Amino acid sequence: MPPTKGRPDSVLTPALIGGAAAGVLSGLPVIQCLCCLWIPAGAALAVFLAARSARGGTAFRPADGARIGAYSGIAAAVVHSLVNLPFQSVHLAFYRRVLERLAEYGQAMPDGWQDVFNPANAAGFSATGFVLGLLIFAVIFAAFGALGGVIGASLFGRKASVPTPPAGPPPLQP
Amino acid sequence: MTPDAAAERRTLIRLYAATLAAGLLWMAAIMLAPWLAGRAPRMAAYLYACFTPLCHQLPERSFSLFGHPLAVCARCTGLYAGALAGLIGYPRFRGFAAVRLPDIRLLLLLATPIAADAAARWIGLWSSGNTVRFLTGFAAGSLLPYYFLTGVGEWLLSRRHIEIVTH
Repeated sequence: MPPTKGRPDSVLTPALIGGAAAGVLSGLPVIQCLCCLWIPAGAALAVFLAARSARGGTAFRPADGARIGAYSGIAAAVVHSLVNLPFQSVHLAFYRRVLERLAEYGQAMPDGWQDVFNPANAAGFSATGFVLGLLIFAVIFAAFGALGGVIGASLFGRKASVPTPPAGPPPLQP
Repeated sequence: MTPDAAAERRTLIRLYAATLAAGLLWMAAIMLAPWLAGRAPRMAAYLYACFTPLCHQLPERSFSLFGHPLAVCARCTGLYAGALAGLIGYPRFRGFAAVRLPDIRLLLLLATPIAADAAARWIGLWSSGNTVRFLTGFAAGSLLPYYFLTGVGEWLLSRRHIEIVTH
């Protein structure tokens, strides 16, 4: 398969913008409730921005969408990890309420479950945990982003302009 | 089949195998979380936390297993189950001879029920049960692997051609 001609240039800026938007929205409490939509949506946004700023006639193949989307997903993972830091206590309280609701429903809860999400027992910031979480989310978000980027390329990518065939020789005179 | 075509086919098959393995692992993790919740809550907490950026994880909107909710809600479970089903059917319906995208209109058609259901819930028109959420998610998710494998497959093949050209 030949390399794509006229590939979109400067994909990092659109990928960073799409990834930042996705990372912020997926990291904020309550807003993140739109399931896994944010990461592919951010990737599709990145492709849209790249397509808009690309030179005329630049074709966006699925490979370009996957590449831009993966970069966007990695950016989203970094932003998400940073945005999530100040909201860790909020998330812990959320998880605790979830477990309390389960206990009310009569679910079998193991001993000591009350202490699992107790903010008072939560350890402080852990660099190892932060890096490990960042690596895990980078892989997951890159895959989701690649998917969103391919869909974005299908929706927003310009088709390559079909070159006009050269004019044929003039007809022979009788 | 030319050697280049055979090599490209091998690349696509490897990508498919890796994606299928990841998909099976993903579904296994979703179901492992409730199993761990009753035995090792701290480990279960870490596993649930991995899915937190991707799902609201509300227990009343999630299926239960072993007495505890799955790691993701019913809609997300449907999405991932549909994607896994689409993956399993990929060799039968698409094969590895070439990479090409499905018609975007088909994706929009399959995504319409989930979009309509979510929008109706959001504006208060109706609130469907977990079964409907699962089924709408399943329909939308079934076509997603075809986009993923096409895009990433083409990306890998284009990089491989660049390496061949420069060496």
